[in-house]
Amino acid sequence: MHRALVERAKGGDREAFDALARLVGDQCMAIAFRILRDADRADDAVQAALISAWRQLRALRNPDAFEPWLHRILTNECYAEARRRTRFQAEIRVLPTMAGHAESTEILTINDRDQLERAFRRLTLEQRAVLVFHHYVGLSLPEVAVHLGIPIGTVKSRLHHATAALRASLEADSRTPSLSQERLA
Amino acid sequence: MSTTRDPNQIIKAFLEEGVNELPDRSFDAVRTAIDQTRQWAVVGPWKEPQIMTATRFALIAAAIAVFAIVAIRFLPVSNVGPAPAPSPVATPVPTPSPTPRSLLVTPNGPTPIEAGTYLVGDPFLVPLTFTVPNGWTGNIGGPNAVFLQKAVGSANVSFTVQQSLYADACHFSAGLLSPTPGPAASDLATALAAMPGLTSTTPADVSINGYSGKQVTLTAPTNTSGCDLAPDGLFRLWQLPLGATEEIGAGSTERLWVVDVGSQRLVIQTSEWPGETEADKGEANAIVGSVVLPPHS
Repeated sequence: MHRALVERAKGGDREAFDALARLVGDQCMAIAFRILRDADRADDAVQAALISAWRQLRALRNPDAFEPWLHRILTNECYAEARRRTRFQAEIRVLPTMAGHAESTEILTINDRDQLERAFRRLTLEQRAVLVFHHYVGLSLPEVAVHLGIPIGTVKSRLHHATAALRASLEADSRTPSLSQERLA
Repeated sequence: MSTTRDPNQIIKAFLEEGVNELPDRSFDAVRTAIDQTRQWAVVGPWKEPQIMTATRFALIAAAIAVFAIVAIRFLPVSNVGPAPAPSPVATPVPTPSPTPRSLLVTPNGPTPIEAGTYLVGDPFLVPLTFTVPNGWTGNIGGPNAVFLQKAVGSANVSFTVQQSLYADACHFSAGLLSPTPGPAASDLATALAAMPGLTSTTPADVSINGYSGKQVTLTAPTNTSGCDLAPDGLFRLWQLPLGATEEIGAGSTERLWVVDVGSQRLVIQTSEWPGETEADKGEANAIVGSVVLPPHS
């Protein structure tokens, strides 16, 4: 889809890369936010990934492979961003905005969201990335392996452990009265 | 809540929520950054699209062999303290005793390298050592060049041999300079200083560990109107036999040391791009200042 722009950008055309960045930037932001669970960190990671992609673009031999190639860079920038910030930043939870909740309210209860948020943050970044590319981006497991640059067996293992952890949090929630219920009682 | 609901569906719904747009200011910041950032050069025979398959395989095999030799020689030999003050003439450092520690340098692009002093043997006729601080990448893709670049930012240093100069930095379509400059370092420095489209200093005598050469500084104009620049929008200075190129951007300054080393002309290069920080400039200058060639007999 972006082949012509990638070809031009590979040749050093900054306008083409700018157009390319505007085409893929929102998706990159969505992925980075879901891995990092923080809009500011995700913003920084996406900017770093796009600049890094520009610098390395000449090394991309197949323009059709731009998207998985960019996703590998983005994921690594997310890992790097998380490591940078955890050195000096206290953990502050960023609650999702209410606007974003409207779409899935029927499926996702407030308790689900709270439990999943906590459980998701306990996952490793590598596990989060697999979950995001599989469940959010909608890639098959072999595609996730390509986009993350890891073996398919590793994808399956990370997905298994991550899913088990999230399911466990939901099941625990179903067995434990919520804080609001305790207060009402 | 009920446990009969599909957990996968709940997880998907959870992941659907959240931020989906990169702010406009972030797109603008990326654009500003790439305007001040040049793409990394990639060196390799795959940049020659017209080469026949058998020749291509032979060149790749040769490149791998050379790369293996270079990678072995390009080993960290010691770590040093604070970076020395920038100087066009390298300051000798004690001859390090090599510590066989592998360093992954690929022909596909820059690879992060640890801070320390490194030795480059082949393809240069004499071993060259240099010291890098943290946060730099190395790229040895062929037999003619070593590229060092700050991982974040535009600061860069390179060591190259076998340059083929372009005739006119402002008019890429003019092609390569013909006739080619004479074999001495002074010939190349004079040709660089005379390259149309750029402002240059008069080549000055320099000596690095007894090897004589010339230092010249080139500056590209900020206004590129009337220029027919290379496809990457930059002022092309030279290319190497396997396709790597050297260029500078509008408003950038390129400092070059051209040194006669045996039968080769070694060019040490560092450039300053608009917006480059003083700290990055200092690191690049320190790398240039750390270059050591073995005593000239």
